Amino acid sequence: MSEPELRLDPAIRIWVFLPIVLITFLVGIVRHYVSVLLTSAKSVALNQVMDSQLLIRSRMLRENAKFLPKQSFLMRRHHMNNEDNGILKNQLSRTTVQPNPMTDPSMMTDMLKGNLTNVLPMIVIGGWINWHFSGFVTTKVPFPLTLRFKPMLQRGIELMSLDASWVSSASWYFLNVFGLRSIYALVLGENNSADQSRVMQDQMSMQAGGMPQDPKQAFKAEWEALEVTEHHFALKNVEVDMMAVVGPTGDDLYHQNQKSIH
Amino acid sequence: MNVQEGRELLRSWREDNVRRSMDVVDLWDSLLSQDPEALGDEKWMVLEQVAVAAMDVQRRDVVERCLKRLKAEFDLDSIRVRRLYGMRHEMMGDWESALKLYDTILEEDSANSSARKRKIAIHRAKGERPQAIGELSRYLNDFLCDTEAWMELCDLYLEERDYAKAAYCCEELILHNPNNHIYFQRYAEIKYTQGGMDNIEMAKTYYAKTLSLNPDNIRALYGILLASFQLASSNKMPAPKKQEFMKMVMWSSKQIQKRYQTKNAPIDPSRFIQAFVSQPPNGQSGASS
Amino acid sequence: MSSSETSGEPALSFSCRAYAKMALHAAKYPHCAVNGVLLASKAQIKSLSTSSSSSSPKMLVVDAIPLSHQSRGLSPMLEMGLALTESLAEQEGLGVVGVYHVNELFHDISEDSFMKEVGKKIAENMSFSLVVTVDNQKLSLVMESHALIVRQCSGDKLKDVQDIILEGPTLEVVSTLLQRKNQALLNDFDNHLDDMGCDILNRDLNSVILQCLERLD
Repeated sequence: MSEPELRLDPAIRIWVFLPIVLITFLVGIVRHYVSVLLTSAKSVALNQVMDSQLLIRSRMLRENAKFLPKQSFLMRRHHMNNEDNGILKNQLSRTTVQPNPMTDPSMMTDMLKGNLTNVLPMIVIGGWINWHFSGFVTTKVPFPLTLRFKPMLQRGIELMSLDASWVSSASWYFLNVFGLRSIYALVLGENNSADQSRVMQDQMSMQAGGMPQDPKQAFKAEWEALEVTEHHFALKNVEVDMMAVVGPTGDDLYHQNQKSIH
Repeated sequence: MNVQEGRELLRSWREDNVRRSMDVVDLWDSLLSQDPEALGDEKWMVLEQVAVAAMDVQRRDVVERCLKRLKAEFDLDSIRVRRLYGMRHEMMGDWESALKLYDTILEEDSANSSARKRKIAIHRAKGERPQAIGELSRYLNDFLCDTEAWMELCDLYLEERDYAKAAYCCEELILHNPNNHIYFQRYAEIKYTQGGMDNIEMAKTYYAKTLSLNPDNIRALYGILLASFQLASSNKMPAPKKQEFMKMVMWSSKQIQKRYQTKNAPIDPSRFIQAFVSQPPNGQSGASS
Repeated sequence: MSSSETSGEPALSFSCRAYAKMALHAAKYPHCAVNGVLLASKAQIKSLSTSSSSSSPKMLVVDAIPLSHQSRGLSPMLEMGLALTESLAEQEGLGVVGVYHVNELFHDISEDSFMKEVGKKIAENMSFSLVVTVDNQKLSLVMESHALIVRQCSGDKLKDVQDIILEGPTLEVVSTLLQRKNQALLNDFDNHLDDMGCDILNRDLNSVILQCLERLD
């Protein structure tokens, strides 16, 4: 409960609030162009392509087989799963080599580049802002927060009675880093490298896709899922749907009325 | 038309992947060739698009100019530029040089799909359909989900009149794109062409699915008319089923006529449709008999 | 020009309109295999059906109706196109007398098995039918000779027909049309199925061809 409302010095608005927005934005733009310069073309090995495509195809078969005649589905399932030479079955028995991040040089450089362009600037600038703009609150978030947030958001301000909604400049900086994502999309177009949250998603999915142990497990999961899939022909009553979509001609209605009378 | 509109038009053709090579080259000649720098960042993609279109219509002067500009900027290190030079060899009919070039690309990048596709296209251009089919099948073993490749294989099998394998390719297309009415329509056409009452019934089902996805697909309406008529005319059909099929014939013929009327078409098919549905049955379909 | 006026007896001839539409259809879709039907007057067809089939047909092919550039050997739309064309032709006193096709590859002048089947079906109603292959290599902006390879289909056999004449200054007319890029005016049945406003009889194009013919005649 903060009564009366705190009034902040207007100078904070001019010299802290806006400069932090500007700094975050410009650093993001610079980061984008730097990463464009540094990124090497991701060359994927052929067998990695084959693996991922096989998994995708198996998934498509499970999801969309209902649009195919039953015979076609059974033939494909046999082709993938059968004991002797099903292509999914074969993947389960192959031995895989795990590329250790420490020993694989290309993965190492990729990780390094990623860290360099994204995490490092964030830490450096966050720290600088914290040091430079310390000792006062910058802004108030529009929703109430609990006391637990105080040490995190009000670093450097040791006031017990201050509402947790008032945050320091460092918090405002981090808010900007994530909030300016849509502005970057407008300015730099989609797929820009200034997008912090995308980078984190990429890191997580890279771990999922690149990990060699995963394909074997993924293949096993697909094999089992495909075994239990049943075929329910989705086009059994498609003509009813078709009539509904296309609309009746005059006599259909007449005949329907006739049917309902008798 | 000004440069901006020309650029938009080219971009829409590029995104839709249409083959309007003559129009692209005409647009280049009349509008864009004077000052390609005005195209800004898009100029490299436009140069690539115009180069490929010019190769399609044997405009060697345009090809040379575009390739020279691309080579000056990206040098032959770029795989994309090298592929264009390979296509230039194809335009001249110099298959050997083209194949050699594509092989060097594949040595550098084994997963490069476009070089492999060009090699298959060379087989096709030379009329070596069986080799093209073989190479494409091997490609599809590696790249199982490449829709464009499945389409191409379907076309090749249709040219070979191997309808069963073409149907298999079409099924792959449906698996990967179950909301695309064109694939269902194509599958129905293949089934109808294969002939036999089971296949024609299957064709009718798939034509119906096409219509439920796109009620404006006039080919599907004609297809249902044709398939239902064939089924209704068959001597092996039990009477109640025949009635069902005749109802479908009537329904589809009315729908077609309605479409022509609302569209104010220059031809009137009503006489044709009346004559069609009242003709004596012949019980056979297409070229499969 | 291949004129066989010296032979004395009338040969198989193609009207300017028929030849022009075949050539324009090929030019409009240079990267596709195209096909269509050939029309002649019903009276001529009737008289030829009753005469012996061993001699080459002596008739005038009056018109060509372009059907498809993406049939790919699939029958449904081709069957519909054929039936529709027959019906429309009948209203003009014409009948279907054969088919024409142009292969996809430039140097390919082989016969098309699918079109051969269609030709056989047409021949069931008459004593014979024509299967015409258009040779891409002979089509150009300035044409020296006609580009048609004509085969007569009777029963299961295909026989070459050498004796072909074209009406008047057909080659000059078609050269002019190609130079003016008039193939854009042509509509085939596939275009009609995409947009029912397209006139499959190509009446506008027919008048353009006629104007050109009158000017050069």
